[in-house]
Amino acid sequence: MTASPRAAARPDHARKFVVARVEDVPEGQRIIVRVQDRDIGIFNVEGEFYAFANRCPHKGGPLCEGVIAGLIESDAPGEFRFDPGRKLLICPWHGWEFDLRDGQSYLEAANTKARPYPVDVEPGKDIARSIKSEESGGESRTLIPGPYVADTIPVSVERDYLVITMRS
Amino acid sequence: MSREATSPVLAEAIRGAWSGPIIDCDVHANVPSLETLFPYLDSVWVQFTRERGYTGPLRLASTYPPNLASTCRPEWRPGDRRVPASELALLQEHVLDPLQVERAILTCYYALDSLRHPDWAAAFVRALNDWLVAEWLDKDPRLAASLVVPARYPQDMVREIERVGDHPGFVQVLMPVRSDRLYGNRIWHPVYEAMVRHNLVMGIHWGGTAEASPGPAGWPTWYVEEYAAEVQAYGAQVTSLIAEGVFKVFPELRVSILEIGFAWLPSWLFRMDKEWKGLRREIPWVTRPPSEIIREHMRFSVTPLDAGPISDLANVIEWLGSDELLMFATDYPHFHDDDLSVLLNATPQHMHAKLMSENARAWYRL
Amino acid sequence: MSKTLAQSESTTSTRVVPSRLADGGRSVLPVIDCDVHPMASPLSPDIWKFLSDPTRQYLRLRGLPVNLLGPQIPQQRVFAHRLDSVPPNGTPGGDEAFARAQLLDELDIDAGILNSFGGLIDHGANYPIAVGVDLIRAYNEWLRESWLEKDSRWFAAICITPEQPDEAVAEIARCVKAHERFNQILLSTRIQQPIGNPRYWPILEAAEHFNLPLAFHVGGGSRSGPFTPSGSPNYYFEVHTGFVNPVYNLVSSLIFEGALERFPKTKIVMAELAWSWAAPFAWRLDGSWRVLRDEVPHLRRKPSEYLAEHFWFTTQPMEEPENPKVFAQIYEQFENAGLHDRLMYSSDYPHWDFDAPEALPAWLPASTRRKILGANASQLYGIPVHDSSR
Repeated sequence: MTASPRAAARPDHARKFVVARVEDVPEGQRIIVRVQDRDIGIFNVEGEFYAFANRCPHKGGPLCEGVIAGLIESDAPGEFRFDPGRKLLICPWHGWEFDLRDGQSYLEAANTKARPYPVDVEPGKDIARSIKSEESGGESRTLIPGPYVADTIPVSVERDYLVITMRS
Repeated sequence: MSREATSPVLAEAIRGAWSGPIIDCDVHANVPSLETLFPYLDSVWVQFTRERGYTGPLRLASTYPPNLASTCRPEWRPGDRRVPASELALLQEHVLDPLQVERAILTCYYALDSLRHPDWAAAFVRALNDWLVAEWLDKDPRLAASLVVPARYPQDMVREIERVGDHPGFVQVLMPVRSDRLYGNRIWHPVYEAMVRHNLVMGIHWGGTAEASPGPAGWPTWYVEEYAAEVQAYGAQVTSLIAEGVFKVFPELRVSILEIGFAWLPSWLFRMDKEWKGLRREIPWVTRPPSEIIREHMRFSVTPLDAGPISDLANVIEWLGSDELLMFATDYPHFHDDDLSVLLNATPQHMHAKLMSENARAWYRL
Repeated sequence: MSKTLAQSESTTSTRVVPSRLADGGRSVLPVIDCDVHPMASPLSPDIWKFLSDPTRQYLRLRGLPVNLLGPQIPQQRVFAHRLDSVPPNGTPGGDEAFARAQLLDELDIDAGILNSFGGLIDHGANYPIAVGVDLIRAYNEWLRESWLEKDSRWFAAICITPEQPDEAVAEIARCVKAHERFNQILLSTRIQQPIGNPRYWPILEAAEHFNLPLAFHVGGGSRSGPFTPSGSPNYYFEVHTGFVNPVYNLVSSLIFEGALERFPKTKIVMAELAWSWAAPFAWRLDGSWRVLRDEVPHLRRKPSEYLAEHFWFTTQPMEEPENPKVFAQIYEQFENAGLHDRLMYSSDYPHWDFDAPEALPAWLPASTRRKILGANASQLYGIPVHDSSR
């Protein structure tokens, strides 16, 4: 499984939140988690992970409950160009389309975007190094200081985790 | 209080409000009688008509009932028994000369769309166009005109456009607002291809014969009831042209929306733009907001104006989002209780000359 | 489709949105939702139980009616619904408890008025009369038992068979007695003739007699013909954009047929039919009448006066001009046509074009928002609201 292409673009004063185990979001699935008072949807689309705030910039609908579909375009009636590789998240309310790669609205100006979050796959042992653990090498349920925060997810060194980056 | 006593003589009122150039983009010729067209018909059709005792399209009388006030302004009813607007001399006396028009676009709606026999209807269409050329266009260089086409068969429509479309006087093809298939439908493409090739504007105009009821709520009973609500007939055609991507296929096609005014339009623009954002995937060839497409491809005659308070009308004009959309018209000889000074007061100063002549001059390439 | 690992607290708490705040930002304006759609098939047990045996037999034999536009021009979703509004039973609008939680509770709505699509689809007119009448009656019984009796915040429109005015009047009378929160009469915008036609006057008379508004809504109808004077459209985009089209004929009919003159206490609600068309159409009605008034001497007032007196409008679909400040101008123009106090918030829950209360611009003055969100509907329907801001 590959990390998000946005992994390199993390803001400096952001924090990381462990939100799920990788196997909690199989290919084609999604989950919606609450992190720091925000609902965030995490999608596994053909092995790549994407995360968005669960709030459509149009009228506040639960964007992450929408359909993911390929791009349909046309230059003239009777012609249809279908690009299943170019994925759009379609809001379950009014049907606005957002590019899954960066949240850009398909139709609106550049400043209308679904709010994306970088999401990475991190091995548990990397996370665990930052964890104050009750017993060495084991699982911890405490809130973790340092760059990683996991509100509800126990972290094990044998597993891989989905980690999103947010300004806190 | 009778209307005759209160309605001003229109030409005077217009010239009182505006002294600059005028192009009148919607004036009408009425056929005086069916026999008027006989000289322009092949003899077989004269015979065909006579042996049936046919006296002309009945539909005309229900589209513009002769005795109703809206059909003719009082000062334009000939004092004798002549049909209003049935002679060039009347048009000259009533509109062209007093308004000192630079040009006027003549449309003859004769309800030939009500006649079903394809060949007989097409013959009358040819005769009508030939009559317009001989008795109107050739006799007054100020006139340009819409040519008439058979209503129902694209190949017949193309044939007539090919036959007369290059006459320099014809600048537009009359397409009645009611049709049996919405004008966005792909079956009409050959007609639009011919229009574009001959540099003709599509003029969507009052009238038409269709199988459906005059409105989606069923059959009305009063004339004014049907008349007032006709906005929806035009709106449906505009929506169809957009949804079906006609302007994608024919990027040079120009459409004039005639005899329904424009105050209703912004509401439709707002709605279409909003809907499109969520429903784009069904009509993916619509790649930009419908309002932008309309601004580029459509123009609107301003009569009937149906104005509200001036400041509200001013907002409507601003919401149109372009100063190129509106074109002055008298809609001679029809009677509307409009006041040009209201329109001018609601329009920014810089737009007056555009509205009164420049937009039409550019649009019809006069 | 989605799994939530961390339990979200927001599904049960109320999110206060800026458009709901009264002046001072302290208290919350009450909201009445004037257009909610319960939905269920007549085959579902809660409706089936009310059908007579002959009706059941007939439905088993022939099946359910097909909404004429539905199969021809599919909506972009099966029920044209919000994807997050599907209850466990699979039918958006089919579960009262689910709707109550997702709409009334979550959005802190004081009252919701139920306009049933079952009642609109074919209006009982696609069947033999006896079957249609029985079906419509069953819808009303279902509304009473499965909705009105479950929560006092629900109100409902009475479904009728407009093409059988006598039966419609009887059903109106029956429902008024059956439950006090039946508060209006539901009609499709597309029945066989425009509603002002005298053949429907018994219904107008009953509405006036029982002091019930007549609410028009998109959808369904008893086969009034193609969707436009020039035939059927091909795309749902045209259908949805064209929801508004019949209003021109309906308003024109009610005025010029003299129906509003004959029944001066008539109240008409235009539900899910937008509202920015109303002012320009008032101008057109007057302009047409000034020229053609000889044809309709039974009108004693200008058409725009009838419009201003007898019509109410729901907000949905809310106008969204590209320049937000234009919204204030559109609303001002609407009020200038005499339509103060006539705009009423509606959500259109659970459909995809749903408007939450926050769709109303928050920068409108609180006095305007108070009226639109709840006060106008409270006055029209006599629904008391708790307004903590006063």
